[in-house]
Amino acid sequence: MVLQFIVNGLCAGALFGLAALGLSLIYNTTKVFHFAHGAVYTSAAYLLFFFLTKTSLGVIPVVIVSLALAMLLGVLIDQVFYLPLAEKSAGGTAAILTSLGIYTIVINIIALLFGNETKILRPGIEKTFEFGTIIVTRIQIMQVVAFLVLLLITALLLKFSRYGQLIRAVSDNGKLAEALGLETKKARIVAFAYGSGLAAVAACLSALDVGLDPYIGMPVTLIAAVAMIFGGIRIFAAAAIGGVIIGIIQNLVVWQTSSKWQAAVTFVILLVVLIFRPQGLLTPKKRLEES
Amino acid sequence: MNYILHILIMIEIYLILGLSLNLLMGYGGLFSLAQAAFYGVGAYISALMMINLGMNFFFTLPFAILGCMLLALIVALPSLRLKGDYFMLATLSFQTLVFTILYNWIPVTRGPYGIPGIPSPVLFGFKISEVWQFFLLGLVFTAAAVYVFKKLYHSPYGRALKAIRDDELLAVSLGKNTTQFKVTAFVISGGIAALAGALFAAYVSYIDPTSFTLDESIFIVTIIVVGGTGNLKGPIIGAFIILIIPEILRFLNIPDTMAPNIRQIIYGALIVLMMRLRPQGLLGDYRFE
Amino acid sequence: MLELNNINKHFGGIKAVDDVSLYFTEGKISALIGPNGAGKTTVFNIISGFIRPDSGEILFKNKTIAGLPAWKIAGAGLGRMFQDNRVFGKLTCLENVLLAKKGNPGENPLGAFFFPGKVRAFEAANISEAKKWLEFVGLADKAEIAADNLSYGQQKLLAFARLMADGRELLLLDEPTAGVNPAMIGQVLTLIKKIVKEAGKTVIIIEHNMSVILEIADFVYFMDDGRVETFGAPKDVLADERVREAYTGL
Repeated sequence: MVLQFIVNGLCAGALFGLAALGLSLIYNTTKVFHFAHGAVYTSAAYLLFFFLTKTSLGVIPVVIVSLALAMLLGVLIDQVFYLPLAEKSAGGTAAILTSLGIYTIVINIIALLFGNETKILRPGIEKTFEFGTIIVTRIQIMQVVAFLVLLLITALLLKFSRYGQLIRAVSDNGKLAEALGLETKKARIVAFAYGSGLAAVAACLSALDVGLDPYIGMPVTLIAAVAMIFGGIRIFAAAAIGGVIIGIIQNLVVWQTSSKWQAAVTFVILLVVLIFRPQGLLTPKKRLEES
Repeated sequence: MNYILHILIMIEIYLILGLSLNLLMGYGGLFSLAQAAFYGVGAYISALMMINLGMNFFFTLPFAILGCMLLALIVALPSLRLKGDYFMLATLSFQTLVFTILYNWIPVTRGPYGIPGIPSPVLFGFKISEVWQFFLLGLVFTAAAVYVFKKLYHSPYGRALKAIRDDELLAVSLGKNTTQFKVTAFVISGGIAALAGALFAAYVSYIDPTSFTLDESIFIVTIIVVGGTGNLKGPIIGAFIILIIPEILRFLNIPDTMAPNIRQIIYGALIVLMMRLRPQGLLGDYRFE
Repeated sequence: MLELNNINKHFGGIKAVDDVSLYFTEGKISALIGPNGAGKTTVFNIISGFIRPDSGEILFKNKTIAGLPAWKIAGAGLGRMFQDNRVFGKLTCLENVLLAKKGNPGENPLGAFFFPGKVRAFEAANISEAKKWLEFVGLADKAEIAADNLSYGQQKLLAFARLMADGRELLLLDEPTAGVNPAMIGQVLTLIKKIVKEAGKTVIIIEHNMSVILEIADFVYFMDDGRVETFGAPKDVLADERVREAYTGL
């Protein structure tokens, strides 16, 4: 019985992990706390909805178009809003506030255009597979596969591709990278595009699985943020793994109590991590003044 | 006339909330997304004591205020060791936790059913139930809040907070226990927010958790972002502007289904614009760095 | 006055401070010199408590201070001037100096409400003392001006005024003449000498300007690569070959 919950947690966590990986790439490269990640996530889901219902294109092309447009949105948000602030070195708080503002604007526009109610994309029963006593739907399997594949691709790209190395350099020490003449501006664009793309994948899969409404973005962003901190901000893969772990813990809590305390779980985890091990589970300890 | 008084009462409530957040963000430089949590807990403590214990509204005030201050202390002590982004996230999680508890702890808070029938405040046998009477009560509360913040602003405590906001490391090198200053600011801020909560509960006579969400915290942040932080005039004009906007929308005959979304878009746009064009707000003297 | 015994500190794989022992006599001006990255500012950070040493002990007026939080160490009588000369830019010069005073009852938030008389009295005394120090450094006429509006050199003087308030006995000055235009350096040096002679302070400075060292330092420690390589009277240390090698070109 508990195994079913763990598997459910794994599949949900796969999506959290993707969103978290995206957020981590963005945060590490630009040091902006990108609340509007949730706006990109929600936009991707609604783009999927729009193209699926208003055009006669198949699922795959629609997903590709939605991904592309969501990535574009992410990059635009950075270039139009965050970059000018960064250049004025108005950093930190101003950027977070701007991010919250953008999130609010985007999801309310979506609500105006599409309505506040939940929409289901695929009515009817989803195909399921049985492994012993465990039941998983086709979408759930796709979620886990997408997670593993994208995590692997991301890891390889970070290690071996030119842009991956650029991102790692900027993430490690942005000022040094700039002083060395590295293309920090390009790193931002790549980080936002790729990070938004990951979020968009998660959004599309989630929309196909459970449907969508304009308010799905913030909870996912918050879980992604918690996953990022939980695993250790500096290590990209840690965010992804953190997302999976949170998904599992959430579902175990549901198994023990009821689904109404689900949201609280994430935040209790965050508070515990912030208080006892703010550097995350996988990063070594460092005195606060030394950072 | 009642319509105008109603708006003024809401302005009073949000002014108190704005001032409380201003102490944290404008004087202390701490970004908190948890004001709605203290607002809500204050409202619930006052309402529950009036209904379950038959207490007089005015006697519930010390409990609401002290209760929130204690809660703020519990949150502040571990969170204020964290810097910048982490502190903001800690306040955000705390806000969401409080909402979840208010929403799900049905035996105590009645969860989504809310608390109806909150009685009118009674002062020396005189019942405060008319709108103009609440307006006057609100005026007293607002005056009290303004007095507290004015005193703090001009005191050495306020000066130290501003110094910590400007350069915490330097303040430490001068011997200031900066964590203690931040904790006290957080605690005072929580207590004042509770005052607004109690007033709100008594005025609307029905409260439920949906008035105390993360969106509400963001709303309070918008007030001081637009009006300005770091002084007293900023939150005043911020509260006026932010609360007038929905009324203007009403006059423009925006359909009721669209109005909430359009309102949110305007608030979001105001934050973005302010950060871009005038980070210190309309009348403030501290820009967000 | 201040004693460091076998202090070690490493960051990641780098040994920033390697078995450093230093001794600073009361009432004297001592200097820490060495090439960039030698660990001088790190030593300052360790003394003032912003960084915790891996091992070793620090005795200030014969009491251990290693491991105490930085604000407590500052409160024990240690003052610090930073390399990038920090001031509270948005506050006035007077407010900058007022903040330096410890034990201000007005800094307790309850003070303004429950013991206003005591707060007012302390504030009045604080203001007159602060004005005295602004005069001492030559900034008396700038009292009500925001620190951001001062020139860099004037901000340095303000930092001195701040250090004077509240009777701090030991002053750590990190490159006090850096960025000051040559005409004003003399003023700064005279001020430092005045501080030691008239107010009896003990001063430790980090400096790269050798003529400054020769002019005011009583004793010099030379650091390189995290270690103390040599020490002694300024003339002797500056004549040492290792020091000349490190400063080739200067």
